[in-house]
Amino acid sequence: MFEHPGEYADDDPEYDADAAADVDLEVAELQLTDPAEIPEDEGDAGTADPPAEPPEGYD
Amino acid sequence: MPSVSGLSRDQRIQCRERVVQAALLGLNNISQVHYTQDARRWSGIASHRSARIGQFPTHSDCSSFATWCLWNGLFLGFGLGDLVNGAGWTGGFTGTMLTHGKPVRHLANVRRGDCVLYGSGPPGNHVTVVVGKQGGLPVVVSHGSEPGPFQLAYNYRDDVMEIRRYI
Repeated sequence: MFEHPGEYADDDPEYDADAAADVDLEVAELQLTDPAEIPEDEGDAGTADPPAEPPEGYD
Repeated sequence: MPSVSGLSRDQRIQCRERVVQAALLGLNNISQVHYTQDARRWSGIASHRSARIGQFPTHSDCSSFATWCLWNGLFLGFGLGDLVNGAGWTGGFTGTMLTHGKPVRHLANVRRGDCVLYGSGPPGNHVTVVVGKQGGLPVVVSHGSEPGPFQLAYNYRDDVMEIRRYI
């Protein structure tokens, strides 16, 4: 579907067993919002926040 | 080859469950999750709000909401470092999300907890979290404006750029 240079996660055989295990993936009762009823996305902040000292316990 | 996160299959399943739990908690508390692009958008992580005990951020934008969801799975679940933005869980945006994790090539391989990035090219301008599939197509939770978060088909916008995995 998407072309991208480099490695793809789904080319990794490590993930082959995940599909069968991820049994809850297909959820018929998910209620979807009609995109026509929502405002246009305002977008992302567009920049990383200034570096900050991570709180204790973070990497 | 290890997974993106280095987690085992069983751990990845648990991690995805926590990510989806966080996204749906935000969705179910729509009136209390406000949209902002200011520094308060990181309050969910900074104040250690755990979806597992019903806590959620009161302010966020799309990327900080997606990052908070993944932080619930990766950090709170397994103590992992910031695989999403590479910023020690203190910041980031779609541009840093695009340079971390790995892209997913085929829709059929999309899993819960993967992120959909939108825009015409890097650095992107919106991101959502996959919470399931309907009819084989990913369903996402998106927090892109004050009335959100919303649950939508992944391609509710026509500028899907790529889908990335951090788990």
